[in-house]
Amino acid sequence: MKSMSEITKEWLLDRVRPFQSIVEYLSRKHVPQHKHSVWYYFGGVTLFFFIIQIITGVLLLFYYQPTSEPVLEKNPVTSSKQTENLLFELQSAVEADSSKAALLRMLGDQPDARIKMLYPSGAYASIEYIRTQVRYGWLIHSLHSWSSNVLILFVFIHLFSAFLMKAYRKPRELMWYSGSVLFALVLGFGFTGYVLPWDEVAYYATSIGTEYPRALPIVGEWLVRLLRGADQVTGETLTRMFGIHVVVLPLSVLGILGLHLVLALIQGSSIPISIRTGVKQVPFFSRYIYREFFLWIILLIALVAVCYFFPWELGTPFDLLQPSSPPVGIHPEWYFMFLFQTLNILPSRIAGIDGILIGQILFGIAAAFWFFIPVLDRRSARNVRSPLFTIIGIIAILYFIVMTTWGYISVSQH
Amino acid sequence: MIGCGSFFIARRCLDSYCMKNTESDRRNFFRRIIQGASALLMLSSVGVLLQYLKNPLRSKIQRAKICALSELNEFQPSKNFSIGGVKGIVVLDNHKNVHAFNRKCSHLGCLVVYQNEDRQFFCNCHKGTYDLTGKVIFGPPPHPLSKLLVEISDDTIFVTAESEALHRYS
Repeated sequence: MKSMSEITKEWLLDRVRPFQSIVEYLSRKHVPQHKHSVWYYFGGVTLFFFIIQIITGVLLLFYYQPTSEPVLEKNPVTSSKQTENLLFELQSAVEADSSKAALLRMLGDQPDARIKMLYPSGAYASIEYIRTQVRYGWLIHSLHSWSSNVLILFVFIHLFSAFLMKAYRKPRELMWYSGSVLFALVLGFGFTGYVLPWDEVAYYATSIGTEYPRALPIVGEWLVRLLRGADQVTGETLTRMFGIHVVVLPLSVLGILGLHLVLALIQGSSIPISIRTGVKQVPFFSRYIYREFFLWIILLIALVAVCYFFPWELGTPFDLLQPSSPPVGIHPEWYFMFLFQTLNILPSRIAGIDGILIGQILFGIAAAFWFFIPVLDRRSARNVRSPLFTIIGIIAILYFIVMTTWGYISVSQH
Repeated sequence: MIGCGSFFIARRCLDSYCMKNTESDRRNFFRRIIQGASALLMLSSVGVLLQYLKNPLRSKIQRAKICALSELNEFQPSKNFSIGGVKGIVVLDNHKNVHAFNRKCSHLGCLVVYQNEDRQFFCNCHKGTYDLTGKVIFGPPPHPLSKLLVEISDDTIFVTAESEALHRYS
């Protein structure tokens, strides 16, 4: 008696011959086991959180409205006939042409307001709607927000562990390059997603974040305008960031992530140079996969628990027509804190050059160095230990931790 | 307490399941646990998903001025309107009574039009035809047109309609 999965497998292999060799290849695939092999799981975990982001992101898209236009409501009908006529006209005007909304919002400030403003922006209103009206909307919103942070945390862990185990060395350079691009794209997701709720913190964080490139010579102004779609952060920026967040970045990620995963399957996990003996091999299908699944399930349950006990909060809504001042101690998300703090502590001018420009040049050099590590680290390419690059990796981690902590301390002191 | 209890039960299950206590039996048990847990998670996720996708829009009862009664006469006895997304029509019958209907055809939801020469409502989609009281006189519609509440005060016609779940915010 054949099992259902065997029948399906045979049916498929009878029809698509090349699968035979792929299945055979994967069934022979093994994952090395040694004292550092726990780090191998983090790649899969990162992938899992990315899948959660895709699913919850698509679900949020069903309700989210990327607009800075206010949400209006007419006041209850009064007895005066004249008021009723006016109401009717205003209502028709709102229905006919939403650009009159701004004018009507002004009317809303009058004491005898006929039209009142429910929310200063459709974007904020729609997230509030998801959080308070849609069944399980709070869960989906919290999952997306929490999981984005956890995803970036695991990306950092995966990146640093790959660095310290010298997993970038020959023949896995392409995995390092594709992984580095994915890292940048994930940070891009974080940045573009941050503005979408259109609350005060989101608005000012985006204003500050998109202001930095202005220091760059020649392309600075152009780059700022490209990011914002306007001179200031406005509704144009919201539309633009939304487009980048839900179309440009996902499409870019899918291609590169596909390459990264195929390479991971073909080349397998890298064994650190220091480990010469005592490497056991564990079959990828299905022993390793089951362990990975087990971890995913535990982490999913933990994530849902976090969302339940600490649902993600929204800030004060931002009103573009009556802007408030930036909140005290405004700062970016934790994963940008080290950049933020570094640029903060630089003096405004260093040897006659703009401090922010110097900071950006330094970060540019550091990023290029990090990207081209497989070329620069000659020793590990020859499978020889290279303690210098281990020290560089540890310095990078310490720099990240120290700067992030320092950033949070100086923000809290304000 | 619960943790200890469930651990104890799990341990007992494991022991009874793997009487031989071989490694492959333990692995099978582990595999089953993961399959079961994933199935449960999947099932509950589908439940959450289905609930989430149901948009909880609110219906709203709205009263609006349509036109002056004197605007309707035997040459121009009807007027279309829209209240909170409800597409309606007011019409003057032979006895000078005003009726208001939702224009949605009860067959497949197309909007009916008023034809003055035949004094009837006609649906262009499948030729459903209603008389001035909303009763079906020809074609596939299963029910009459739905009536809306009409009030007349000082020569002005008001209609009250419940919007069909169109509002996110109230």
